[in-house]
Amino acid sequence: MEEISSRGERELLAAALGGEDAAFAELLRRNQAMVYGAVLGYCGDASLAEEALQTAFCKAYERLASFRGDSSFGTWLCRIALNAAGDILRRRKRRRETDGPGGEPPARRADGRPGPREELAGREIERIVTEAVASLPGRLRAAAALYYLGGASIEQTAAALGLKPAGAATRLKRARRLLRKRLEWLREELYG
Amino acid sequence: MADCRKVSRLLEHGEDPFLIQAHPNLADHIASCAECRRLLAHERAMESVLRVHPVPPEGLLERAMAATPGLRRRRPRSPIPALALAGVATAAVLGFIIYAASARPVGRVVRVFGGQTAEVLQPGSATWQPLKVGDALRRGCIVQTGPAARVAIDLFEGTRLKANVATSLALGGTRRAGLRYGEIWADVASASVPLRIETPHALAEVLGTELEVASSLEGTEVAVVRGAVRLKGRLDEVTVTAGRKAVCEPDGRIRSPVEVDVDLVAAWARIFAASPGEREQRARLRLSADGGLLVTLPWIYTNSQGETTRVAVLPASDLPAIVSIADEENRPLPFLPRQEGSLYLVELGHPLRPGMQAPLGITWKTDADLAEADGRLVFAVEEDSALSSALGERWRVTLLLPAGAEPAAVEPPPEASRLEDGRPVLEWSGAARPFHCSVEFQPPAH
Repeated sequence: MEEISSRGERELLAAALGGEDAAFAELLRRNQAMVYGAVLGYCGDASLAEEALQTAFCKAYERLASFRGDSSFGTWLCRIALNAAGDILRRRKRRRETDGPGGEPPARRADGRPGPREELAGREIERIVTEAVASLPGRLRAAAALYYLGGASIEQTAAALGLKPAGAATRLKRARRLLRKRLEWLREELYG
Repeated sequence: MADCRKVSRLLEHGEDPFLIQAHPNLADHIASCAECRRLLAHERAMESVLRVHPVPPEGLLERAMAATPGLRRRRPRSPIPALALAGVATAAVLGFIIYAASARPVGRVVRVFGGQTAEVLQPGSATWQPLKVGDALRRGCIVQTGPAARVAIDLFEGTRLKANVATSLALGGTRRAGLRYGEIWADVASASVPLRIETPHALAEVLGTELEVASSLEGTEVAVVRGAVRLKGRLDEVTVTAGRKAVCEPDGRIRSPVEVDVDLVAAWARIFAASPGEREQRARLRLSADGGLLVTLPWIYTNSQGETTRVAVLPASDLPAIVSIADEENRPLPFLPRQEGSLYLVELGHPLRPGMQAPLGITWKTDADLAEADGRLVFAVEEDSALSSALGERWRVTLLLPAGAEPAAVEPPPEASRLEDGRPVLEWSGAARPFHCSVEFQPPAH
């Protein structure tokens, strides 16, 4: 295990392609934070994110031989995970349309604000930001989720979305504009 | 004015405020324009809030691996690795279930500073609880400190951890911790199994070492005080030895380790003593000879040990120089500024209450600056950091004019003014930021 954790990405990929499952597991471990953050931001829900991640890991395993190495394994995995998340959201949407209105009450309060400043610490901010990112239009949402929640750089965001860096930067600008408007109240709450 | 409009327009277009700040054509303007700096500081703070980098839930990978049928179905070239992995995965899942069920304590809290914003989310609980000294921390818990809180934790396996302000730390099972954001210091107990500290960008494996790990949107920094640490990013890995610091960037690349004043890096942890008996070391600091303007008031914390008190002054942004620091009664204090201007230590000759925040007066102009001021000074106390803005501390500014100078138009009027050795002394204090002040005075005749 010690040996695996000290190997580089290319070496791990070669080993995983050769059937060494522990190498594949190590590749997932190294990239899980970025992929989880991106998918969580895209879905806006932790249980959906986990479902999407499991699907993505399965697909990545099955398609490993088709990975050409044009981008890093992490951005390739992000792309698969975001597609999986999109499929899950579409299925849910269809089911909701079939089932009609109802289901769980909204997690937020009526005014959408958490209230006292103390509540804005830590996880509360994470939830608010996650929900705000998840409410963005599809293309902007994927870019913002990768960048803000996944911690991806602009280059990684571009690679995961199949864009040029300038294209990813443009989407991020548009996402940032919307997020600033939607979270203006949060800024006032935090910074006056 | 045109540049001000350019900054506003870039912000309106959704440009990254960190990029605007570093824009080569705007840097000079931003450095000289308080309004643009204020605007950018707020946007940068907001941008930092957006970059939340959530940590995957405990056991996510194990669960996903167990649910990946391909791992069992696909036939590897040799059956042994697959069987071994299946065994490991099964053991990991069983282990996770057993651990999750027992959620055994892995450590306890030995000190809390600023307890109102130090909280813990224990596994299985849906609510955050304020942390108290003596609290047992269970495997899988998340400890968070607010902008004015710090926590010291003793893990039962012998490691001592300290979480600095604005930090989120998850405690895993045996010798595992996750740093989502913020800064921790660790004195790691020697053992055959390395302590693994995971951040969103990197993994630090440490064995019997004292180190400092900081994680932010800029990446993960690891500074080693004693021993050595193996730092692994997505693309690179390095061994960081004592007296050096390495940075893992968000894309997974690791910059080569460089020498660093580790005493200085870890000064906050030494100042924030976990117990009265903990030995403190004095940071080695160098004096910066340059004069300059103080534009941001610091955030200050103290720790009393017997008859002396050490005060750490952590400015929210780089200060060109602080030329002197005075206590509340305007008595000058000896102090040791850091060359980069981001940490100052002050030693008081008398005890303060443990944990109290000390309001200090800071003199921020050299006599040479004043001589060149041509009878008019304009200065500001500004907000330049998400942390300091959340603190709501009171600031105090003391201005010593040259001997013989006569204040003429002072806006706003000072709260106090007096003469000291023939030098007019003007003082302001408050909590609101930004605070802008203009002082016109008659320069002394030479």
